[in-house]
Amino acid sequence: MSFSQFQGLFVREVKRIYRNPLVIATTIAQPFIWLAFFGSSLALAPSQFLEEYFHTTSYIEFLLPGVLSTSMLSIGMFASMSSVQDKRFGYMKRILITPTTKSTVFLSKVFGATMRGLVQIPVMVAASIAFGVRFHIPPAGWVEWILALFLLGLGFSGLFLGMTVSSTDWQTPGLSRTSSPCHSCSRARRYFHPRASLYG
Amino acid sequence: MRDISMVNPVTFSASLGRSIVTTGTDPNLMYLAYLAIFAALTLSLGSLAARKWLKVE
Repeated sequence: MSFSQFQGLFVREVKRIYRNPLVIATTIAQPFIWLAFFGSSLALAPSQFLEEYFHTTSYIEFLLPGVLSTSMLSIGMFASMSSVQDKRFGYMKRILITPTTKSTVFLSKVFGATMRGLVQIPVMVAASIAFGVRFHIPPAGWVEWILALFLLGLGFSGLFLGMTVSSTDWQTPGLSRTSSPCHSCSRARRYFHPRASLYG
Repeated sequence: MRDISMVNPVTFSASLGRSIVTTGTDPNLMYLAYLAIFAALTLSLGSLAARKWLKVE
Protein backbone atom coordinates (compact mmCIF):
# COMPACT_ATOMS: atom_id res chain seq x y z
CA MET A 1 0.00 0.00 0.00
CA SER A 2 1.41 3.37 -1.01
CA PHE A 3 0.99 6.18 1.50
CA SER A 4 0.55 8.82 -1.21
CA GLN A 5 -2.33 6.84 -2.73
CA PHE A 6 -3.93 6.52 0.68
CA GLN A 7 -3.41 10.22 1.40
CA GLY A 8 -4.94 11.31 -1.91
CA LEU A 9 -8.06 9.21 -1.41
CA PHE A 10 -8.35 10.15 2.27
CA VAL A 11 -8.16 13.88 1.52
CA ARG A 12 -10.79 13.41 -1.18
CA GLU A 13 -13.09 11.72 1.34
CA VAL A 14 -12.71 14.53 3.85
CA LYS A 15 -13.10 17.27 1.22
CA ARG A 16 -16.17 15.62 -0.21
CA ILE A 17 -17.87 15.67 3.16
CA TYR A 18 -17.15 19.29 3.98
CA ARG A 19 -17.48 20.83 0.53
CA ASN A 20 -21.20 20.98 1.08
CA PRO A 21 -22.15 23.96 3.31
CA LEU A 22 -25.30 22.17 4.36
CA VAL A 23 -23.24 19.34 5.85
CA ILE A 24 -21.17 21.84 7.82
CA ALA A 25 -24.31 23.56 9.08
CA THR A 26 -25.85 20.22 10.06
CA THR A 27 -22.68 19.08 11.81
CA ILE A 28 -22.78 22.17 13.98
CA ALA A 29 -26.52 22.48 14.50
CA GLN A 30 -27.29 18.83 15.24
CA PRO A 31 -25.34 18.55 18.53
CA PHE A 32 -26.88 21.78 19.80
CA ILE A 33 -30.38 20.56 18.97
CA TRP A 34 -29.66 17.15 20.48
CA LEU A 35 -28.29 18.55 23.72
CA ALA A 36 -30.97 21.24 23.95
CA PHE A 37 -33.90 18.85 23.62
CA PHE A 38 -32.57 15.59 24.99
CA GLY A 39 -30.09 16.98 27.49
CA SER A 40 -32.67 19.27 29.04
CA SER A 41 -35.03 16.37 29.75
CA LEU A 42 -33.69 16.08 33.31
CA ALA A 43 -32.93 19.77 33.77
CA LEU A 44 -35.58 20.10 36.47
CA ALA A 45 -34.48 17.00 38.36
CA PRO A 46 -33.08 17.61 41.86
CA SER A 47 -29.29 17.64 41.94
CA GLN A 48 -29.39 14.97 44.67
CA PHE A 49 -31.14 12.62 42.22
CA LEU A 50 -28.54 13.32 39.52
CA GLU A 51 -25.70 12.76 42.00
CA GLU A 52 -27.19 9.47 43.13
CA TYR A 53 -27.91 7.99 39.69
CA PHE A 54 -25.45 9.68 37.35
CA HIS A 55 -22.63 10.66 39.75
CA THR A 56 -22.77 14.23 38.47
CA THR A 57 -24.93 17.30 38.93
CA SER A 58 -25.21 17.87 35.18
CA TYR A 59 -27.15 15.39 33.07
CA ILE A 60 -25.50 16.74 29.90
CA GLU A 61 -22.11 15.89 31.41
CA PHE A 62 -23.30 12.31 31.86
CA LEU A 63 -24.93 12.21 28.43
CA LEU A 64 -22.03 13.57 26.38
CA PRO A 65 -19.69 10.52 26.34
CA GLY A 66 -22.59 8.25 25.38
CA VAL A 67 -23.84 10.57 22.66
CA LEU A 68 -20.38 10.86 21.13
CA SER A 69 -19.96 7.07 21.24
CA THR A 70 -23.28 6.40 19.51
CA SER A 71 -22.42 9.16 17.05
CA MET A 72 -19.31 7.19 16.04
CA LEU A 73 -21.51 4.13 15.61
CA SER A 74 -23.84 6.07 13.28
CA ILE A 75 -20.91 7.48 11.31
CA GLY A 76 -19.64 3.93 10.84
CA MET A 77 -23.00 2.79 9.54
CA PHE A 78 -23.03 5.59 6.98
CA ALA A 79 -19.43 4.89 5.88
CA SER A 80 -20.52 2.36 3.30
CA MET A 81 -22.71 4.94 1.51
CA SER A 82 -19.56 6.55 0.13
CA SER A 83 -18.42 3.25 -1.39
CA VAL A 84 -21.80 2.62 -3.04
CA GLN A 85 -21.87 6.18 -4.39
CA ASP A 86 -18.40 5.80 -5.92
CA LYS A 87 -19.47 2.60 -7.66
CA ARG A 88 -22.70 4.09 -8.98
CA PHE A 89 -20.99 7.16 -10.42
CA GLY A 90 -18.09 5.19 -11.94
CA TYR A 91 -15.42 6.68 -9.69
CA MET A 92 -14.49 3.29 -8.24
CA LYS A 93 -13.82 1.95 -11.74
CA ARG A 94 -11.45 4.83 -12.46
CA ILE A 95 -9.61 4.32 -9.17
CA LEU A 96 -9.21 0.58 -9.52
CA ILE A 97 -7.70 0.74 -13.00
CA THR A 98 -4.79 2.62 -11.38
CA PRO A 99 -2.19 0.69 -9.31
CA THR A 100 -4.14 1.59 -6.15
CA THR A 101 -4.95 -1.53 -4.16
CA LYS A 102 -8.43 -2.36 -2.94
CA SER A 103 -7.17 -2.30 0.65
CA THR A 104 -6.00 1.29 0.17
CA VAL A 105 -9.43 2.30 -1.11
CA PHE A 106 -11.04 0.54 1.86
CA LEU A 107 -8.74 2.12 4.46
CA SER A 108 -9.07 5.61 2.99
CA LYS A 109 -12.85 5.36 3.24
CA VAL A 110 -12.68 4.05 6.80
CA PHE A 111 -10.35 6.83 7.95
CA GLY A 112 -12.37 9.44 6.04
CA ALA A 113 -15.57 8.39 7.78
CA THR A 114 -13.84 8.36 11.16
CA MET A 115 -12.59 11.91 10.60
CA ARG A 116 -16.15 12.97 9.96
CA GLY A 117 -17.09 11.56 13.36
CA LEU A 118 -14.15 13.17 15.13
CA VAL A 119 -15.17 16.63 13.94
CA GLN A 120 -18.27 16.24 16.09
CA ILE A 121 -16.17 16.10 19.28
CA PRO A 122 -15.18 19.80 19.47
CA VAL A 123 -18.67 20.79 18.34
CA MET A 124 -20.34 18.69 21.04
CA VAL A 125 -17.92 19.88 23.69
CA ALA A 126 -18.55 23.51 22.67
CA ALA A 127 -22.30 22.86 22.78
CA SER A 128 -21.96 21.35 26.26
CA ILE A 129 -19.99 24.35 27.47
CA ALA A 130 -22.68 26.61 26.02
CA PHE A 131 -25.23 24.66 28.08
CA GLY A 132 -23.26 25.17 31.27
CA VAL A 133 -20.99 22.13 31.55
CA ARG A 134 -17.56 22.88 33.01
CA PHE A 135 -14.85 20.40 32.12
CA HIS A 136 -12.00 19.68 34.53
CA ILE A 137 -10.17 17.15 32.42
CA PRO A 138 -6.36 16.89 32.34
CA PRO A 139 -4.72 16.89 28.87
CA ALA A 140 -3.98 13.16 29.14
CA GLY A 141 -7.68 12.55 29.79
CA TRP A 142 -8.65 14.41 26.61
CA VAL A 143 -6.12 12.38 24.63
CA GLU A 144 -7.43 9.07 26.00
CA TRP A 145 -11.05 10.01 25.39
CA ILE A 146 -10.44 11.17 21.80
CA LEU A 147 -8.29 8.11 21.13
CA ALA A 148 -11.11 5.86 22.38
CA LEU A 149 -13.61 7.59 20.07
CA PHE A 150 -11.17 7.40 17.17
CA LEU A 151 -10.71 3.64 17.67
CA LEU A 152 -14.46 3.17 17.99
CA GLY A 153 -15.02 5.08 14.74
CA LEU A 154 -12.39 3.03 12.94
CA GLY A 155 -13.88 -0.18 14.28
CA PHE A 156 -17.46 0.52 13.23
CA SER A 157 -16.54 2.10 9.88
CA GLY A 158 -14.37 -0.94 9.11
CA LEU A 159 -17.09 -3.31 10.22
CA PHE A 160 -19.94 -1.80 8.20
CA LEU A 161 -17.84 -0.98 5.14
CA GLY A 162 -16.45 -4.53 5.18
CA MET A 163 -19.95 -5.97 5.39
CA THR A 164 -21.21 -4.00 2.38
CA VAL A 165 -18.03 -3.99 0.29
CA SER A 166 -19.46 -5.98 -2.59
CA SER A 167 -22.72 -4.08 -2.86
CA THR A 168 -23.77 -1.48 -5.40
CA ASP A 169 -27.27 -1.12 -4.03
CA TRP A 170 -28.12 2.15 -2.28
CA GLN A 171 -30.25 0.23 0.18
CA THR A 172 -27.53 -2.13 1.37
CA PRO A 173 -25.90 0.33 3.79
CA GLY A 174 -29.41 1.01 5.01
CA LEU A 175 -29.88 -2.61 6.01
CA SER A 176 -27.61 -2.00 8.95
CA ARG A 177 -29.51 1.13 9.93
CA THR A 178 -32.41 -0.67 11.53
CA SER A 179 -33.09 2.34 13.71
CA SER A 180 -33.89 4.53 10.73
CA PRO A 181 -37.63 5.16 10.63
CA CYS A 182 -37.63 5.94 6.88
CA HIS A 183 -35.82 2.71 6.19
CA SER A 184 -38.36 0.76 8.21
CA CYS A 185 -41.19 2.43 6.31
CA SER A 186 -39.70 1.64 2.91
CA ARG A 187 -39.17 -1.99 3.87
CA ALA A 188 -42.63 -2.23 5.34
CA ARG A 189 -44.12 -0.85 2.13
CA ARG A 190 -42.19 -3.41 0.09
CA TYR A 191 -43.34 -6.28 2.28
CA PHE A 192 -46.94 -5.26 2.62
CA HIS A 193 -47.63 -3.83 -0.82
CA PRO A 194 -48.57 -7.11 -2.59
CA ARG A 195 -50.88 -8.13 0.22
CA ALA A 196 -52.38 -4.65 0.50
CA SER A 197 -53.11 -4.60 -3.22
CA LEU A 198 -55.33 -7.67 -2.79
CA TYR A 199 -57.74 -5.54 -0.80
CA GLY A 200 -57.82 -2.80 -3.39
CA MET B 1 -28.99 -7.18 26.91
CA ARG B 2 -26.45 -7.28 29.72
CA ASP B 3 -24.49 -9.96 27.85
CA ILE B 4 -24.45 -7.83 24.69
CA SER B 5 -23.32 -4.77 26.62
CA MET B 6 -20.40 -6.76 28.05
CA VAL B 7 -18.90 -7.03 24.56
CA ASN B 8 -20.34 -3.88 22.99
CA PRO B 9 -17.54 -1.43 22.10
CA VAL B 10 -19.96 1.50 22.57
CA THR B 11 -20.30 0.51 26.24
CA PHE B 12 -16.53 0.54 26.68
CA SER B 13 -16.15 3.90 24.96
CA ALA B 14 -19.03 5.51 26.87
CA SER B 15 -17.77 4.15 30.23
CA LEU B 16 -14.27 5.37 29.51
CA GLY B 17 -15.58 8.81 28.52
CA ARG B 18 -17.80 9.03 31.61
CA SER B 19 -15.00 8.13 33.97
CA ILE B 20 -12.97 10.98 32.47
CA VAL B 21 -15.74 13.57 32.16
CA THR B 22 -17.89 13.04 35.25
CA THR B 23 -15.60 11.70 37.96
CA GLY B 24 -12.26 12.86 36.57
CA THR B 25 -10.70 9.53 37.43
CA ASP B 26 -8.11 7.77 35.33
CA PRO B 27 -9.87 5.61 32.77
CA ASN B 28 -9.49 1.87 32.71
CA LEU B 29 -6.83 1.26 30.08
CA MET B 30 -8.27 -2.19 29.45
CA TYR B 31 -11.20 -0.39 27.81
CA LEU B 32 -8.80 1.38 25.48
CA ALA B 33 -7.05 -1.91 24.72
CA TYR B 34 -10.40 -3.54 23.96
CA LEU B 35 -11.28 -0.74 21.53
CA ALA B 36 -7.86 -1.04 19.87
CA ILE B 37 -8.37 -4.78 19.39
CA PHE B 38 -11.86 -4.16 18.02
CA ALA B 39 -10.54 -1.59 15.52
CA ALA B 40 -7.60 -3.78 14.48
CA LEU B 41 -9.85 -6.78 13.99
CA THR B 42 -12.48 -5.02 11.89
CA LEU B 43 -9.87 -3.20 9.81
CA SER B 44 -8.04 -6.47 9.10
CA LEU B 45 -11.19 -8.39 8.24
CA GLY B 46 -12.61 -5.47 6.24
CA SER B 47 -9.37 -5.13 4.33
CA LEU B 48 -9.42 -8.82 3.49
CA ALA B 49 -13.06 -8.56 2.42
CA ALA B 50 -12.22 -5.55 0.22
CA ARG B 51 -9.37 -7.45 -1.43
CA LYS B 52 -11.65 -10.32 -2.21
CA TRP B 53 -15.06 -8.77 -2.90
CA LEU B 54 -14.68 -5.06 -3.71
CA LYS B 55 -16.17 -4.62 -7.16
CA VAL B 56 -16.02 -1.66 -9.50
CA GLU B 57 -19.74 -1.62 -10.16
